[in-house]
Amino acid sequence: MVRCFCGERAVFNLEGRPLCRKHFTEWLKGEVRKELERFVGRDVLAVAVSGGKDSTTLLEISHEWARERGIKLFGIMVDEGIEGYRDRTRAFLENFCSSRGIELHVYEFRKEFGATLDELVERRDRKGLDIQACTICGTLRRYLLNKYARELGATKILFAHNLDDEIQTFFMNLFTGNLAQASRKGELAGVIEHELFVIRFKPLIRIPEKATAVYSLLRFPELPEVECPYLKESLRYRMRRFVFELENRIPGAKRRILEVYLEKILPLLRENARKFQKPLQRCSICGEPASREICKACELRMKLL
Amino acid sequence: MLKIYRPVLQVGTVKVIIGKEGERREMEIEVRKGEKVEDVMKKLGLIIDEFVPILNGEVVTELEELREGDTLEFVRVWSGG
Repeated sequence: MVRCFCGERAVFNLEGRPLCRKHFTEWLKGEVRKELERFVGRDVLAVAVSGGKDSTTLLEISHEWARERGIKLFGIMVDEGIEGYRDRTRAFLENFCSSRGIELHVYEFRKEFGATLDELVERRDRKGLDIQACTICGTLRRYLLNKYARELGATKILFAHNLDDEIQTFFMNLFTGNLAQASRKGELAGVIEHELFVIRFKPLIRIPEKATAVYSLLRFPELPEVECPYLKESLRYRMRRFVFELENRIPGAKRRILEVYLEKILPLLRENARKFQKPLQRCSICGEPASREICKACELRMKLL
Repeated sequence: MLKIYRPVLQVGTVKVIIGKEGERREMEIEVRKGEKVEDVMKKLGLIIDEFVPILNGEVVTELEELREGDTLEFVRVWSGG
Protein backbone atom coordinates (compact mmCIF):
# COMPACT_ATOMS: atom_id res chain seq x y z
CA MET A 1 0.00 0.00 0.00
CA VAL A 2 1.27 3.47 -0.88
CA ARG A 3 1.18 5.60 2.24
CA CYS A 4 1.02 9.30 3.01
CA PHE A 5 3.72 10.64 5.36
CA CYS A 6 1.19 10.11 8.19
CA GLY A 7 0.86 6.38 7.45
CA GLU A 8 -2.63 6.43 5.89
CA ARG A 9 -3.33 5.15 2.36
CA ALA A 10 -2.53 7.75 -0.31
CA VAL A 11 -5.29 9.03 -2.61
CA PHE A 12 -3.29 11.57 -4.62
CA ASN A 13 0.28 11.76 -5.86
CA LEU A 14 1.31 15.41 -5.60
CA GLU A 15 4.41 15.50 -7.82
CA GLY A 16 6.00 12.55 -6.04
CA ARG A 17 4.45 13.27 -2.62
CA PRO A 18 1.68 10.73 -1.89
CA LEU A 19 -1.08 12.28 0.25
CA CYS A 20 -3.95 10.61 2.14
CA ARG A 21 -7.53 11.88 2.01
CA LYS A 22 -7.02 14.21 5.00
CA HIS A 23 -3.71 15.70 3.88
CA PHE A 24 -4.79 15.96 0.23
CA THR A 25 -7.93 17.88 1.30
CA GLU A 26 -5.84 20.14 3.56
CA TRP A 27 -3.34 20.79 0.76
CA LEU A 28 -6.03 21.70 -1.79
CA LYS A 29 -7.96 23.91 0.62
CA GLY A 30 -4.71 25.58 1.71
CA GLU A 31 -3.71 26.40 -1.88
CA VAL A 32 -7.11 27.95 -2.66
CA ARG A 33 -7.19 29.87 0.63
CA LYS A 34 -3.72 31.30 -0.12
CA GLU A 35 -5.01 32.70 -3.43
CA LEU A 36 -8.10 34.12 -1.71
CA GLU A 37 -5.91 35.78 0.94
CA ARG A 38 -3.72 37.31 -1.80
CA PHE A 39 -6.44 38.78 -3.94
CA VAL A 40 -9.59 39.36 -1.89
CA GLY A 41 -9.92 42.53 0.13
CA ARG A 42 -13.09 44.42 0.98
CA ASP A 43 -15.06 42.60 -1.65
CA VAL A 44 -18.44 41.08 -2.28
CA LEU A 45 -17.82 37.78 -4.05
CA ALA A 46 -19.88 36.09 -6.74
CA VAL A 47 -18.78 32.53 -7.52
CA ALA A 48 -19.58 31.45 -11.08
CA VAL A 49 -20.91 27.93 -10.59
CA SER A 50 -22.14 25.17 -12.85
CA GLY A 51 -22.54 22.10 -10.65
CA GLY A 52 -19.34 20.65 -12.12
CA LYS A 53 -16.32 19.42 -10.17
CA ASP A 54 -14.19 22.59 -10.35
CA SER A 55 -16.78 25.20 -9.44
CA THR A 56 -18.32 23.03 -6.70
CA THR A 57 -14.85 22.61 -5.16
CA LEU A 58 -14.26 26.37 -5.40
CA LEU A 59 -17.70 27.19 -3.99
CA GLU A 60 -17.27 24.90 -0.97
CA ILE A 61 -13.80 26.21 -0.08
CA SER A 62 -14.43 29.91 -0.77
CA HIS A 63 -17.79 29.86 1.04
CA GLU A 64 -16.14 28.43 4.17
CA TRP A 65 -13.30 30.98 3.92
CA ALA A 66 -15.65 33.95 3.36
CA ARG A 67 -17.98 32.90 6.20
CA GLU A 68 -15.06 32.85 8.66
CA ARG A 69 -14.25 36.46 7.66
CA GLY A 70 -17.76 37.84 7.40
CA ILE A 71 -17.34 38.43 3.65
CA LYS A 72 -20.52 38.29 1.57
CA LEU A 73 -20.44 35.53 -1.05
CA PHE A 74 -23.07 34.00 -3.30
CA GLY A 75 -23.21 31.56 -6.20
CA ILE A 76 -24.32 32.62 -9.66
CA MET A 77 -25.28 30.07 -12.28
CA VAL A 78 -26.20 30.33 -15.93
CA ASP A 79 -28.46 27.59 -17.21
CA GLU A 80 -27.84 27.54 -20.96
CA GLY A 81 -30.42 24.85 -21.58
CA ILE A 82 -28.35 21.83 -22.62
CA GLU A 83 -30.57 18.79 -22.34
CA GLY A 84 -29.22 15.81 -20.41
CA TYR A 85 -26.29 17.88 -19.10
CA ARG A 86 -27.12 21.21 -17.50
CA ASP A 87 -30.43 19.97 -16.05
CA ARG A 88 -28.50 17.31 -14.09
CA THR A 89 -25.75 19.59 -12.81
CA ARG A 90 -28.31 22.31 -11.95
CA ALA A 91 -30.38 19.91 -9.83
CA PHE A 92 -27.22 18.83 -7.99
CA LEU A 93 -26.08 22.43 -7.44
CA GLU A 94 -29.44 23.66 -6.16
CA ASN A 95 -29.49 20.82 -3.66
CA PHE A 96 -25.83 21.44 -2.71
CA CYS A 97 -26.44 25.15 -2.04
CA SER A 98 -29.70 24.72 -0.14
CA SER A 99 -28.21 22.02 2.13
CA ARG A 100 -25.26 24.32 2.99
CA GLY A 101 -27.16 27.58 3.20
CA ILE A 102 -25.36 29.14 0.22
CA GLU A 103 -27.23 31.90 -1.65
CA LEU A 104 -27.64 30.93 -5.31
CA HIS A 105 -28.91 32.96 -8.27
CA VAL A 106 -29.78 31.18 -11.51
CA TYR A 107 -30.25 32.86 -14.92
CA GLU A 108 -31.52 31.03 -17.98
CA PHE A 109 -30.70 31.57 -21.66
CA ARG A 110 -34.35 30.82 -22.45
CA LYS A 111 -35.60 33.70 -20.29
CA GLU A 112 -32.76 36.11 -21.10
CA PHE A 113 -32.38 35.51 -24.85
CA GLY A 114 -35.59 33.67 -25.75
CA ALA A 115 -33.80 30.45 -26.73
CA THR A 116 -31.77 27.68 -25.11
CA LEU A 117 -28.25 26.85 -26.31
CA ASP A 118 -29.63 23.70 -27.96
CA GLU A 119 -32.03 25.91 -29.96
CA LEU A 120 -29.32 28.47 -30.78
CA VAL A 121 -27.08 25.69 -32.14
CA GLU A 122 -29.99 24.43 -34.26
CA ARG A 123 -30.45 27.95 -35.67
CA ARG A 124 -26.73 28.19 -36.34
CA ASP A 125 -26.87 24.98 -38.36
CA ARG A 126 -30.00 26.07 -40.26
CA LYS A 127 -28.33 29.35 -41.19
CA GLY A 128 -25.06 27.60 -42.03
CA LEU A 129 -23.03 29.86 -39.70
CA ASP A 130 -19.48 28.91 -38.81
CA ILE A 131 -19.58 29.62 -35.06
CA GLN A 132 -18.58 27.05 -32.44
CA ALA A 133 -21.19 26.17 -29.82
CA CYS A 134 -18.58 27.05 -27.15
CA THR A 135 -18.22 30.56 -28.62
CA ILE A 136 -21.98 31.16 -28.47
CA CYS A 137 -22.22 29.70 -24.98
CA GLY A 138 -19.09 31.37 -23.57
CA THR A 139 -19.93 34.83 -24.91
CA LEU A 140 -23.53 34.81 -23.68
CA ARG A 141 -22.62 33.21 -20.35
CA ARG A 142 -19.88 35.76 -19.57
CA TYR A 143 -22.29 38.53 -20.55
CA LEU A 144 -24.94 37.35 -18.07
CA LEU A 145 -22.41 36.64 -15.32
CA ASN A 146 -20.91 40.13 -15.53
CA LYS A 147 -24.28 41.87 -15.77
CA TYR A 148 -25.97 40.07 -12.89
CA ALA A 149 -22.91 39.84 -10.62
CA ARG A 150 -22.66 43.64 -10.90
CA GLU A 151 -26.38 44.16 -10.32
CA LEU A 152 -26.17 41.91 -7.24
CA GLY A 153 -23.36 44.09 -5.88
CA ALA A 154 -20.36 41.80 -6.48
CA THR A 155 -16.92 43.39 -6.83
CA LYS A 156 -15.19 40.19 -7.98
CA ILE A 157 -16.43 37.12 -9.85
CA LEU A 158 -14.62 33.93 -8.92
CA PHE A 159 -14.11 31.55 -11.85
CA ALA A 160 -13.08 27.94 -11.28
CA HIS A 161 -10.51 27.77 -14.09
CA ASN A 162 -7.86 25.25 -13.03
CA LEU A 163 -4.20 24.81 -14.00
CA ASP A 164 -5.06 22.64 -17.00
CA ASP A 165 -7.65 25.17 -18.26
CA GLU A 166 -5.12 27.99 -18.03
CA ILE A 167 -2.44 26.06 -19.93
CA GLN A 168 -4.97 25.02 -22.60
CA THR A 169 -6.01 28.67 -22.98
CA PHE A 170 -2.37 29.74 -23.22
CA PHE A 171 -1.74 27.30 -26.08
CA MET A 172 -5.05 28.18 -27.77
CA ASN A 173 -4.19 31.89 -27.77
CA LEU A 174 -0.69 31.11 -29.01
CA PHE A 175 -2.19 28.92 -31.70
CA THR A 176 -4.72 31.50 -32.89
CA GLY A 177 -2.31 34.42 -32.38
CA ASN A 178 -4.77 36.21 -30.14
CA LEU A 179 -2.28 38.13 -28.01
CA ALA A 180 -4.83 40.69 -26.84
CA GLN A 181 -6.88 37.86 -25.34
CA ALA A 182 -3.74 36.26 -23.84
CA SER A 183 -2.90 39.57 -22.14
CA ARG A 184 -6.16 39.43 -20.19
CA LYS A 185 -5.43 36.08 -18.48
CA GLY A 186 -3.70 35.30 -15.19
CA GLU A 187 -5.09 35.18 -11.63
CA LEU A 188 -7.02 38.39 -12.19
CA ALA A 189 -8.44 38.20 -15.66
CA GLY A 190 -9.84 40.81 -17.97
CA VAL A 191 -8.55 43.62 -15.80
CA ILE A 192 -9.98 46.69 -17.46
CA GLU A 193 -11.04 49.34 -15.03
CA HIS A 194 -14.61 50.18 -15.82
CA GLU A 195 -17.61 50.76 -13.61
CA LEU A 196 -19.66 48.19 -15.54
CA PHE A 197 -17.00 45.53 -15.59
CA VAL A 198 -16.59 43.12 -12.66
CA ILE A 199 -13.03 41.80 -12.22
CA ARG A 200 -12.63 38.04 -12.71
CA PHE A 201 -10.49 36.11 -10.28
CA LYS A 202 -9.31 32.50 -10.64
CA PRO A 203 -8.33 30.97 -7.29
CA LEU A 204 -7.85 27.43 -8.77
CA ILE A 205 -5.22 28.55 -11.26
CA ARG A 206 -2.50 26.43 -9.58
CA ILE A 207 -4.68 23.34 -9.01
CA PRO A 208 -4.38 20.52 -11.58
CA GLU A 209 -7.68 19.30 -13.01
CA LYS A 210 -7.14 15.77 -11.69
CA ALA A 211 -7.02 17.18 -8.14
CA THR A 212 -10.53 18.68 -8.40
CA ALA A 213 -11.78 15.37 -9.84
CA VAL A 214 -10.31 13.45 -6.86
CA TYR A 215 -11.66 16.08 -4.41
CA SER A 216 -15.14 15.74 -5.95
CA LEU A 217 -15.07 11.95 -5.90
CA LEU A 218 -14.08 12.02 -2.22
CA ARG A 219 -16.38 14.80 -1.02
CA PHE A 220 -19.34 15.06 -3.40
CA PRO A 221 -20.37 11.51 -4.33
CA GLU A 222 -23.69 12.76 -5.75
CA LEU A 223 -22.00 15.16 -8.21
CA PRO A 224 -22.93 14.05 -11.76
CA GLU A 225 -19.84 13.14 -13.80
CA VAL A 226 -21.37 14.38 -17.03
CA GLU A 227 -19.77 16.25 -19.92
CA CYS A 228 -21.16 18.89 -22.22
CA PRO A 229 -22.33 17.29 -25.51
CA TYR A 230 -20.80 20.20 -27.49
CA LEU A 231 -17.35 19.70 -25.96
CA LYS A 232 -16.00 17.65 -28.87
CA GLU A 233 -16.68 20.51 -31.34
CA SER A 234 -14.09 22.68 -29.63
CA LEU A 235 -10.40 23.36 -30.10
CA ARG A 236 -10.14 23.19 -26.30
CA TYR A 237 -11.06 19.52 -26.36
CA ARG A 238 -8.08 18.73 -28.57
CA MET A 239 -5.80 21.02 -26.55
CA ARG A 240 -6.90 19.27 -23.37
CA ARG A 241 -5.59 15.95 -24.63
CA PHE A 242 -2.38 17.62 -25.83
CA VAL A 243 -1.79 19.12 -22.35
CA PHE A 244 -2.38 15.72 -20.68
CA GLU A 245 0.17 14.14 -23.02
CA LEU A 246 2.66 16.96 -22.51
CA GLU A 247 2.55 16.50 -18.73
CA ASN A 248 2.92 12.74 -19.17
CA ARG A 249 6.11 13.21 -21.20
CA ILE A 250 7.53 16.09 -19.15
CA PRO A 251 6.24 15.86 -15.54
CA GLY A 252 5.89 19.34 -14.02
CA ALA A 253 5.51 21.00 -17.46
CA LYS A 254 2.14 22.60 -16.67
CA ARG A 255 3.33 24.20 -13.45
CA ARG A 256 6.52 25.44 -15.11
CA ILE A 257 4.65 26.93 -18.09
CA LEU A 258 2.22 28.69 -15.74
CA GLU A 259 5.08 30.23 -13.74
CA VAL A 260 6.86 31.46 -16.88
CA TYR A 261 3.56 32.76 -18.26
CA LEU A 262 2.54 34.65 -15.12
CA GLU A 263 5.96 36.04 -14.26
CA LYS A 264 7.63 36.66 -17.62
CA ILE A 265 5.18 36.60 -20.54
CA LEU A 266 2.04 38.17 -19.08
CA PRO A 267 3.69 41.47 -17.97
CA LEU A 268 5.06 41.94 -21.51
CA LEU A 269 1.72 41.13 -23.10
CA ARG A 270 -0.08 43.55 -20.77
CA GLU A 271 2.39 46.34 -21.46
CA ASN A 272 1.98 45.80 -25.18
CA ALA A 273 -1.84 45.60 -24.91
CA ARG A 274 -1.98 48.94 -23.04
CA LYS A 275 -0.55 50.70 -26.09
CA PHE A 276 -3.37 49.50 -28.33
CA GLN A 277 -6.18 49.32 -25.79
CA LYS A 278 -9.26 51.29 -26.63
CA PRO A 279 -11.40 52.50 -23.75
CA LEU A 280 -14.50 50.45 -23.04
CA GLN A 281 -17.78 51.97 -24.10
CA ARG A 282 -21.43 51.10 -23.62
CA CYS A 283 -23.04 48.84 -26.20
CA SER A 284 -25.45 50.94 -28.26
CA ILE A 285 -28.07 48.18 -28.05
CA CYS A 286 -27.99 46.84 -24.48
CA GLY A 287 -25.81 49.35 -22.62
CA GLU A 288 -23.41 46.72 -21.32
CA PRO A 289 -19.62 47.23 -21.64
CA ALA A 290 -18.26 46.77 -25.16
CA SER A 291 -14.95 47.21 -26.94
CA ARG A 292 -16.82 48.25 -30.11
CA GLU A 293 -20.11 50.00 -30.76
CA ILE A 294 -22.05 46.78 -30.30
CA CYS A 295 -21.04 44.20 -27.70
CA LYS A 296 -20.21 40.62 -28.69
CA ALA A 297 -23.35 39.22 -27.08
CA CYS A 298 -25.63 41.54 -29.10
CA GLU A 299 -23.64 40.81 -32.25
CA LEU A 300 -24.24 37.09 -31.71
CA ARG A 301 -27.92 37.62 -30.95
CA MET A 302 -28.36 39.54 -34.19
CA LYS A 303 -26.75 36.73 -36.15
CA LEU A 304 -28.67 33.92 -34.49
CA LEU A 305 -32.07 35.26 -33.47
CA MET B 1 24.90 -31.50 -11.90
CA LEU B 2 24.48 -27.75 -12.10
CA LYS B 3 20.97 -26.60 -11.41
CA ILE B 4 19.78 -23.24 -12.66
CA TYR B 5 17.09 -21.68 -10.51
CA ARG B 6 14.95 -19.08 -12.18
CA PRO B 7 12.65 -16.86 -10.17
CA VAL B 8 9.02 -17.76 -10.79
CA LEU B 9 7.05 -14.68 -11.73
CA GLN B 10 3.64 -15.00 -10.17
CA VAL B 11 0.87 -14.05 -12.48
CA GLY B 12 -2.58 -12.98 -11.34
CA THR B 13 -5.67 -11.51 -12.90
CA VAL B 14 -7.15 -8.10 -12.22
CA LYS B 15 -10.59 -6.96 -13.34
CA VAL B 16 -10.35 -3.57 -15.04
CA ILE B 17 -13.24 -1.18 -15.67
CA ILE B 18 -12.72 1.99 -17.70
CA GLY B 19 -15.16 4.89 -17.93
CA LYS B 20 -18.77 5.28 -16.92
CA GLU B 21 -22.25 5.03 -18.35
CA GLY B 22 -22.27 4.92 -22.17
CA GLU B 23 -18.51 4.50 -22.60
CA ARG B 24 -17.92 1.77 -19.99
CA ARG B 25 -15.44 -1.00 -20.91
CA GLU B 26 -14.64 -4.08 -18.82
CA MET B 27 -11.75 -6.51 -19.20
CA GLU B 28 -9.46 -8.89 -17.34
CA ILE B 29 -5.75 -8.20 -17.35
CA GLU B 30 -2.86 -10.40 -16.23
CA VAL B 31 -0.42 -8.77 -13.84
CA ARG B 32 2.90 -9.96 -12.50
CA LYS B 33 3.99 -9.73 -8.89
CA GLY B 34 4.96 -6.19 -8.00
CA GLU B 35 3.15 -4.58 -10.91
CA LYS B 36 1.47 -1.28 -10.14
CA VAL B 37 -1.56 0.64 -11.34
CA GLU B 38 0.72 2.77 -13.53
CA ASP B 39 1.99 -0.38 -15.29
CA VAL B 40 -1.59 -1.33 -16.21
CA MET B 41 -2.18 2.25 -17.38
CA LYS B 42 0.88 2.01 -19.64
CA LYS B 43 -0.33 -1.31 -21.08
CA LEU B 44 -3.74 0.21 -21.83
CA GLY B 45 -2.33 3.51 -23.12
CA LEU B 46 -4.03 5.56 -20.39
CA ILE B 47 -2.48 8.89 -19.37
CA ILE B 48 -1.96 9.31 -15.61
CA ASP B 49 -3.42 12.85 -15.50
CA GLU B 50 -6.53 11.80 -17.40
CA PHE B 51 -7.75 9.01 -15.10
CA VAL B 52 -8.41 8.55 -11.38
CA PRO B 53 -7.74 4.93 -10.32
CA ILE B 54 -10.20 3.34 -7.89
CA LEU B 55 -8.94 0.07 -6.42
CA ASN B 56 -11.60 -2.15 -4.82
CA GLY B 57 -13.82 0.90 -4.34
CA GLU B 58 -11.16 3.25 -2.92
CA VAL B 59 -9.44 6.17 -4.63
CA VAL B 60 -5.71 5.34 -4.87
CA THR B 61 -2.60 6.67 -6.62
CA GLU B 62 -1.02 5.18 -9.71
CA LEU B 63 1.81 3.89 -7.50
CA GLU B 64 -0.41 1.30 -5.77
CA GLU B 65 0.64 -2.37 -6.21
CA LEU B 66 -1.91 -4.83 -7.57
CA ARG B 67 -2.93 -8.26 -6.28
CA GLU B 68 -4.75 -11.24 -7.69
CA GLY B 69 -8.49 -10.67 -7.70
CA ASP B 70 -8.36 -6.87 -7.43
CA THR B 71 -10.97 -4.75 -9.18
CA LEU B 72 -9.42 -1.64 -10.69
CA GLU B 73 -11.70 1.06 -12.03
CA PHE B 74 -10.51 4.10 -13.98
CA VAL B 75 -12.70 7.18 -13.80
CA ARG B 76 -11.88 9.56 -16.62
CA VAL B 77 -11.22 13.11 -15.42
CA TRP B 78 -14.43 14.48 -16.86
CA SER B 79 -14.45 17.92 -18.34
CA GLY B 80 -16.72 20.71 -17.20
CA GLY B 81 -16.10 22.80 -14.20
